[in-house]
Amino acid sequence: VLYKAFQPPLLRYLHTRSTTSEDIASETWLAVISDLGGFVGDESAFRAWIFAIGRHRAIDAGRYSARRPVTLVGEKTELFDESSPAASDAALEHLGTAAAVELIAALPPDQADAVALRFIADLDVATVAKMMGRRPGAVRVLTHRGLRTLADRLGSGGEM
Amino acid sequence: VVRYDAHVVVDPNEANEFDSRLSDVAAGIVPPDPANLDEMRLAAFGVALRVPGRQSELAGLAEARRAFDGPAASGVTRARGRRRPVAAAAAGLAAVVMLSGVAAAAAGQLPTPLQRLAHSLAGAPKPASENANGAGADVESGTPSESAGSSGAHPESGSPAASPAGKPSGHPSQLPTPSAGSVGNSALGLCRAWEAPQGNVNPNSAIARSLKVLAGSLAIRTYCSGVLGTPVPSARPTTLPHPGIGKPSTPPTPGA
Repeated sequence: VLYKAFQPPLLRYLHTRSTTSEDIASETWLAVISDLGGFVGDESAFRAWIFAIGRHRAIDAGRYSARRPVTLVGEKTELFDESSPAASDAALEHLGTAAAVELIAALPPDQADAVALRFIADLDVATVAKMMGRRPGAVRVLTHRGLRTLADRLGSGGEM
Repeated sequence: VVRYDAHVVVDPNEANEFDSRLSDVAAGIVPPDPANLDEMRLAAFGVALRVPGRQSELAGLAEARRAFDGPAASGVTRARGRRRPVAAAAAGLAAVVMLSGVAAAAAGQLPTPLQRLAHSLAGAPKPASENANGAGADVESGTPSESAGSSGAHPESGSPAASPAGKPSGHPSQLPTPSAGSVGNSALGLCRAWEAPQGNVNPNSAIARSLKVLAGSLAIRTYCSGVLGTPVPSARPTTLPHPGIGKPSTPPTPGA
């Protein structure tokens, strides 16, 4: 039940940060399961805990891949079906989860992190601020700027 | 006057730039204004992010279930394995401990961190001395046993990065023991969350539903009172998770 509840948002969040989101999610779950017995806190703390582990794992993975860059060769995943109606319509009426996640990933890193933690991880501003090492006001501004950018991009036909 | 810090422009008019309504709309807290296209777009955006998980997103469920049923099982693999030097080194260490250290661990002859690693990976019985001491010497002294949890719980990470939030891996009490049982170990955390005085667990929450599964025909409260009443390896109170505390580990070094 925990996995079904948290894996989708965890995977979506990690996808905004890394191309190896599935690997990182797996590692995150192993860590969570191993340390679950020592967890103390309420429901929101539990959620924050999982995403904090995932976030730090993603940061580690980013550092690792930065040191050992790998050129990926393969088909580029299309966010929208080329044969679909106008991208703007798709964005408005049929905005898929993958497309929404890709939109977040295309934001500047800080904005992407703030928006993803707020709306994918469903964490409150104070928790996100702690995770990001920022002040709550800064997180609010980052989130707001991110949302404004997203609204503009959605309105301009999904420039991603 | 505008001040600058390392990352963020701190503007006295910062509050003016933030419109909480936009966030509330995206979060689904307030309905969008039909006349406001931006709000409509962000509402759709928020809905897209909150849709229930698809089958493809739950592909690792079987592995997770296996790990949940037995965290000590070292056969859990990642969904799409990515070999890392540190992972190989850690796996080698685990193999050494598992193959050659079980007997020593059972006899209590390994250094404490390795002892716990062995218990975690191989399920070797706890040595009599540790059983007698209950939580272990380092817990008694209040000194965090840095290597115990992290090395045992995350043999492949080679870093404490797995537990930056609450630093749970630094607590030796979290390692599953054969006596407590892996499910009991997991249930412990869930029951603590359920019983946490600082928060109310929604009966429909993931934690509540997980406990319902674990409790079976028992009421969750009854089940948790039994779980929490069970002697655990450590009585040391752990701190609440602090997501902002702790930094990611440094990248693994070739020698790690």
